[in-house]
Amino acid sequence: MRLSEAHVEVIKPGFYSSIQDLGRFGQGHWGIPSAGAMDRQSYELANHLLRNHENSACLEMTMIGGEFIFWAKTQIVLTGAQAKISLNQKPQEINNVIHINSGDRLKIGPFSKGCRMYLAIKGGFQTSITLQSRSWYKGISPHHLLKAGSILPFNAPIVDLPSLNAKVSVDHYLLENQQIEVYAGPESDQLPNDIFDQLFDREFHLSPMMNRMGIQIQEKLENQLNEILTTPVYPGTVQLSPGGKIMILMRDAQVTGGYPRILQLNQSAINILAQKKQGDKIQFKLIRSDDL
Amino acid sequence: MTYKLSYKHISPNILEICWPQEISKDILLQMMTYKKKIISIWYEELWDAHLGYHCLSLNFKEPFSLDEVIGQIEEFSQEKETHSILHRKRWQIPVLYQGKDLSRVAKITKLSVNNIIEEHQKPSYLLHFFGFMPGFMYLGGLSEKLYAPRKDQPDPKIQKGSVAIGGQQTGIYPMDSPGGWNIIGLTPLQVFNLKEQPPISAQPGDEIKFYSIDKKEFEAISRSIINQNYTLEYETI
Repeated sequence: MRLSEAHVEVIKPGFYSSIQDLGRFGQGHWGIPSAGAMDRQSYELANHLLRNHENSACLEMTMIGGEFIFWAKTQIVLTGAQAKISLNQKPQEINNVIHINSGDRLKIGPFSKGCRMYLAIKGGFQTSITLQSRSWYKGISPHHLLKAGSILPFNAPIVDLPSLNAKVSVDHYLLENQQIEVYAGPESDQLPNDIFDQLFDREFHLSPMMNRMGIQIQEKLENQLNEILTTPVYPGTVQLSPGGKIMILMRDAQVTGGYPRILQLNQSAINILAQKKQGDKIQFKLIRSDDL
Repeated sequence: MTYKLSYKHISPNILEICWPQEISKDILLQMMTYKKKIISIWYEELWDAHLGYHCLSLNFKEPFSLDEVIGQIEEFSQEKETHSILHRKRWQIPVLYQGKDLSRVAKITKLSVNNIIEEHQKPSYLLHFFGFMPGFMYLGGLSEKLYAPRKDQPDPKIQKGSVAIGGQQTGIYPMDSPGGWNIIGLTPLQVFNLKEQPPISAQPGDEIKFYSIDKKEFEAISRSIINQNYTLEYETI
C-alpha cells in the first residue's frame, strides 16, 4: 500500500469529534482563536505513549466515541475519558498502545467517565494545516466537525513498527477532581469582598450550555459590575455578566470580550474542566498571586 | 501624551499592559508603538501580542519574570515617544449599499436611506483591533446619527463581506456567521483571506474608508478578484 492511501475511514463520528493538536499559536492579533486539544494532558499523554512529536494531530471525541476502520497497519493510543472500547470485537483499554492491522475496526461507546477522549495515531493524522496548525475550527480549517464517511489520512510506517508496550494507569485525579485552580482575574478587584469570597465558598455546577468555546455555570452570582471596554480574553478566563452568569472560556474562545474577567484558570484546571459533563460539580480554589 | 500604565499578571505566561480606560486614538497609537518595541525585544520569547481598546496583551511561551519585563518596559517608556515610526495606511473599501436592513436603520435613525449611505462614507474609521471572530475589525468613528441597536432576533447567516451597524459600531463580517447587526451593504473584497499571508492587509492603527459602488462595479471588482488582478487601494497616512 502506498503511503497516501493510509487512512482511517469514519463509520460513526460520535457526538462531536474533531482533529486537534496543540493549537494555533500567535494568531490572536488577527482575532483567530488558539483552538487545540481541550484536555491537553490526555492529548499529550496519547502522543507520548506512541513516541510521537508533541504537536501530532489527534482525534478528539466528546461524550460518545465513534466507529472507525483503519486502512493500513499502524499503532494507536486512546486516552482521557473511559468507555467500552473494542477492536474487531475484542475489548481494549485506554492509556495503552493498540496494534492495528489494515481493515481493523475500532468501536468506542458512550463515555462512562469523563467527557473527552483522544485517539492518537503513530506519526499523527496528516489532515491539512492552516496557519501552522491542524486544529479544526469553523471558518479557519476546511472541516470543523467529523462526519460519517470522513477520511483521516495518516502515514503508514514504511518499516515494521517496533512493538511498544507502553502503558500507564488511568489518572483518576484528572477525571474525579472537582477542584478548579484559579488566579484572581484582572477585574476581580471590582467585586466586593463578600461576593468574591462566595466564588470559593460555594459549589458550582456545569450547565448544559457547554462546548469547545466555553462552559456556562448553572448558578448565578449577583453583582453590580458593568460591562467593560472590550479587552483580550484567553482560554480559562472566567467572565461575569451583569445578569450574574458565570462563563468559563475554553480553547475555541474568541480573543476579546466585554465582560469583567473575575478569575483565570491555570492550565491543569482547563484540562480538568474539559473532562467535566453537564451537571458535574466544581469548586474554585484560589492560587495566591505570590505563587504566580 | 504620557499615561499612567498598569500591569496585570493574568497567568504565569500572560502579562497585560493597560492604559486608562477609554477609547482613544492616542492610546491606540501608543499601544502600537509599545507593541512594536516589545516584539523587537522579546520576539523569540513571545507567541503573540494582541490588543483590546486599552490593554495590550503579551502571551509569553514560558513563564516570565515580572520584574524584568516591567523593568524593561518602564525603561523604554522613558524614551521620547515617536508615533512617526508607525507606518499607517488608509484603506479604501468599496461597498454596494443595498443591505436588507437599510429600511430598519432608516426607521431607527429617522434618516433617509441616501443619508445613511452618505453618513457612513464620511468618516475614516480607526481600526482598533481584531476580535469577536477571525478577522473582525473593531472600528471607531461611527457617526452618532447612525447608532442602531442590534436586532433582537439574530440572523442565522450573515453573508461574508456584509457591512453592518451594531449599536455604536460598524464593521465588516469577515466570514459567514450568525449575527444581530443591521446589514447595510456588501463589499466584494475578501477582507479575511486565509490564502494570503497575512490573511488581512490592514492592521490596528490603520484607517478604513468606505465608498459606494453600484452593482456593475461590484461585479467588475468581483471578477478582477477572481482573476487575481485586483489591488486593494490605500494611501499612507
